[in-house]
Amino acid sequence: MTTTTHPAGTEQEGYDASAPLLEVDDLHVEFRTKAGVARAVNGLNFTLNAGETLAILGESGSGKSVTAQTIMGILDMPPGHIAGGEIRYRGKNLFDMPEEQRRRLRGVNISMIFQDALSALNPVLPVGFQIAEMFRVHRGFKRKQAREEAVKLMQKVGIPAAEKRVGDYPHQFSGGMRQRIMIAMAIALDPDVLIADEPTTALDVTVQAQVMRLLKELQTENNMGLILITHDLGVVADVADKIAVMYAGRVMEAADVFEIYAKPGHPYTKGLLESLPRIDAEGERLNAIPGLPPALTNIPPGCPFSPRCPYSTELCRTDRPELLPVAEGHVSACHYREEIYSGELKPREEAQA
Amino acid sequence: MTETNRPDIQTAPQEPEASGPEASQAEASLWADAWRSLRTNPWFIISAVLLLILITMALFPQLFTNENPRECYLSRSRLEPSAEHWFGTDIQGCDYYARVIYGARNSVAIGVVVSIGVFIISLVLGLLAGYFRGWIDAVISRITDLIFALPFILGALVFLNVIESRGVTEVAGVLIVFMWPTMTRLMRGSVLSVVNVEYVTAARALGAGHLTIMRRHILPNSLGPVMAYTAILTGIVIGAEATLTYLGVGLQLPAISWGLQLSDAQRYITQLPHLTVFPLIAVGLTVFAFMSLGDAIRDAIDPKSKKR
Amino acid sequence: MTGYIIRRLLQFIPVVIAATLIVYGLVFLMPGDPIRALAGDRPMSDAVRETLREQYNLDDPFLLQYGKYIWGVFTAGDFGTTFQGRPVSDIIQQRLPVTLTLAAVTFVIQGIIGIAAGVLSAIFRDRFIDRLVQVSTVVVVALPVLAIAFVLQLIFGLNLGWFPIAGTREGLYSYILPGFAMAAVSTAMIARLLRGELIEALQSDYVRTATAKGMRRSRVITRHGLRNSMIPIVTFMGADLASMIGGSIVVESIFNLPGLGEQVYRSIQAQEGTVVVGIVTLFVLAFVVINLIVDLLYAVLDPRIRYD
Repeated sequence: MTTTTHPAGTEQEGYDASAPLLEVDDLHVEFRTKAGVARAVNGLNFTLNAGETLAILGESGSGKSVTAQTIMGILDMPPGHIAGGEIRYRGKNLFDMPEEQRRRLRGVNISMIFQDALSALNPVLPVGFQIAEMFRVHRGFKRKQAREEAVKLMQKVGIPAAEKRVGDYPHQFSGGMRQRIMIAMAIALDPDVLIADEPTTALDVTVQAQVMRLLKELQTENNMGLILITHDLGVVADVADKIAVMYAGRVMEAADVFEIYAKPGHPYTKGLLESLPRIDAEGERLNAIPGLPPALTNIPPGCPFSPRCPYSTELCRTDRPELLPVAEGHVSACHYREEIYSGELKPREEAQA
Repeated sequence: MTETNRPDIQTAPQEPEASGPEASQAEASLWADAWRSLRTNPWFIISAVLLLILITMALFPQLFTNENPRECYLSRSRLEPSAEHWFGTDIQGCDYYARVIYGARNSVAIGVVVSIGVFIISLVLGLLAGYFRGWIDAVISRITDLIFALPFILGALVFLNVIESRGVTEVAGVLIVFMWPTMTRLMRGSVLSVVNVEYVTAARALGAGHLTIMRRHILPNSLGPVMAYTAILTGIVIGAEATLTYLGVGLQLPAISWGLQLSDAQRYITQLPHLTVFPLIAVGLTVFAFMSLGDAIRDAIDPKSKKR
Repeated sequence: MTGYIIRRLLQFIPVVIAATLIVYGLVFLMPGDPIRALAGDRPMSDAVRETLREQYNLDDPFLLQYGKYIWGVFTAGDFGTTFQGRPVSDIIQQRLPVTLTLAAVTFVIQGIIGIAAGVLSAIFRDRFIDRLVQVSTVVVVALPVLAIAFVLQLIFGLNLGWFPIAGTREGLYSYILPGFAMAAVSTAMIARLLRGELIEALQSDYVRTATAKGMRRSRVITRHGLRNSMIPIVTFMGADLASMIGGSIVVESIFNLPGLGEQVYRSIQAQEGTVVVGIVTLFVLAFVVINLIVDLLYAVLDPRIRYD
């Protein structure tokens, strides 16, 4: 059985069109190294629907990129190891699929954009070849036909003189143009799910906005589910529908984008928002969150954020808070989520002072 | 954006970074690390044991055999290996085991002399070329280019053929002429890699003289790869000597040498293969021991090369 | 690009001149009077001797002799004549096919086996096949060509009798053992080099991208991983082709192949200076041209490199 088109093909293979596009259910991912077991993802949950943009926000080492790689099935195993949970695409668990079936999903149904397009594109192959490869491998197009498609895609993502540049190599493009080529490659076969891992981090600020706009346009046009992985709250605000804040391999808080900016329900999110530079707070020091994320080989027993949390109590150090609702469509993993949400709680130092 | 918020693409767990001790301590621990990794490398153990036996053989061949390799009787010519003559006897009726044992001395002598000679030349020329650059570098580089353009065996063949009487000194001299460029380039490369490091610039700014900078900073930090290559070179030299002697332009009779034995044996290779086999094993093991010792040292000094 | 080629060729001129000059000088220094050697035991009148000396420019000063010679090589392809009156270019024409065949067989062997072993080793990293490749390459790299040639001759030629041990009577089949002897060390080096390169490439971001694009594993490895890893391999194989010249002297002598290497060795012993100079000049030119081709090939394989 070969699937050349979807969704007709996807139905045949036991996909459920009524199920959510992508569900991550209690996912655990570890790295088994000589230094010990590093728990990169520890019971992650989220759902993505068609046409929706979910931003996954977190610091380096929070497990967001590992999550993306696990969904794509490009995690290096070993040392990576899926220790539990499920990822369901249209109701079907990706981990139960034979490798060949998963391969046919990659780039076709689920696609990914990487942070550094210069290293993510093959330096010795023309960009046109790398885009056309999608059509040749997954659609069985002939060389010429695939090349025409590649030119069309390059035009679509806004590369000037695409026909002339189709034979150029990645190093001959600017950073922004390279990222557009990366995007062209990822959307070539109209995927349902697009994962963008820090798509604009390596770019200049002005180019960042252009690339984000392009992504948003393409998403709306194709009704894709977009997972936007970033550390930058600023990038997220304009584009995302939902935000999930990750810390030490867990979702700390998830909510609608406006809700989370207006009323964060977790001290970590609150800290991130306060560390953003603000135009109306000129001259004030930025409030960086003190301390560092925990080592993944040695995550503290209670709330993983407790060592850095200005509100933490004895309870936080011993009991791990569950991800529970604070409001409609707004969940937080904090013992004091209600108080944070309503703004009643004061940091310890201030309270003591 | 604040510093704590700045992530990178690193997703795999990070190993704790080595704390930065002072330079001398780091150096000491570098060599200690190298020694630790050497001790656990089986290739190092094998080659070290082989070399120990070989060097004893070169220095005190009497420990290995009571036979005199020059006492030959035609009455016992062309004997197959037996309990009495472990490696048999050759055409002249010499005990072949004794001749192979005594052959070690010339091979090891040429190997060591050439390596030391090349090491000194390369150290000086590589240091000068890498440190001063400019015309010194240009001249040295042109000369190395020139010698590289002459295939080594060919050059040595033509050179040695001109010399009528060839002993260890002559053969070693010609080998040095053709062997120094590779190591000089290596030395120049490692000098170049440390010459612009900040602490050297700092030392220069503080008014340290060229000699002091070279001795205190450049030399200790660029010696590693050259030392590993010296061991490898010894192996190459011993192989080259045997080859040249086999081709008839190396050592000459009455010297006892593996190359001469191979050269004599080739005419009888179908009837008396043991005459080829034993000196061959000796040459093979010797070259192998030096080269894998060098390899092991290189891996220990530069862990990056290990994946190669 | 053309500018680059011209510049490189101009850079090579001094190297070629110096290398050939050295060889010419050494041959000039060869002991014995070539005319007397030619005459053998027969008496020769002074008049005849004078004519011969004139014919071979032997009375010209050294540099003029050399100048006339090298001019002849480049303008008329005239490599001189032997004292028996036979043009050296004749000898070259007769012997060249053997050496070229040997080089081609060697090239094919090291290409196929070296690349296959390197790829398998990288894909099955740390498994049995990888360990096997690693151990055997460590051993082979550390053996001199001389030893490998003899071992192959003894085992596969004499003991098992699968291949001829000398001459070219059985056509291409006769080249297999010599080919393996010449290829062995390079094959091992290619395998080790490729293993390291491919392991690195398979961990690179662009290979991860290819996997994320849903490419089959085989396509990921060949199109994306191997395509990049082959760049240093091709350079190595090219440079190695140049170094084969030296190896061919040893191997052709051991296996008695009538090629250029064996001819130059015999001519050195027979003191046929003009033949030695002719063949060495050809070798040096070949070396220079091969190196230039390798450089250009590098630019074709790696689009990031441009020679402007």
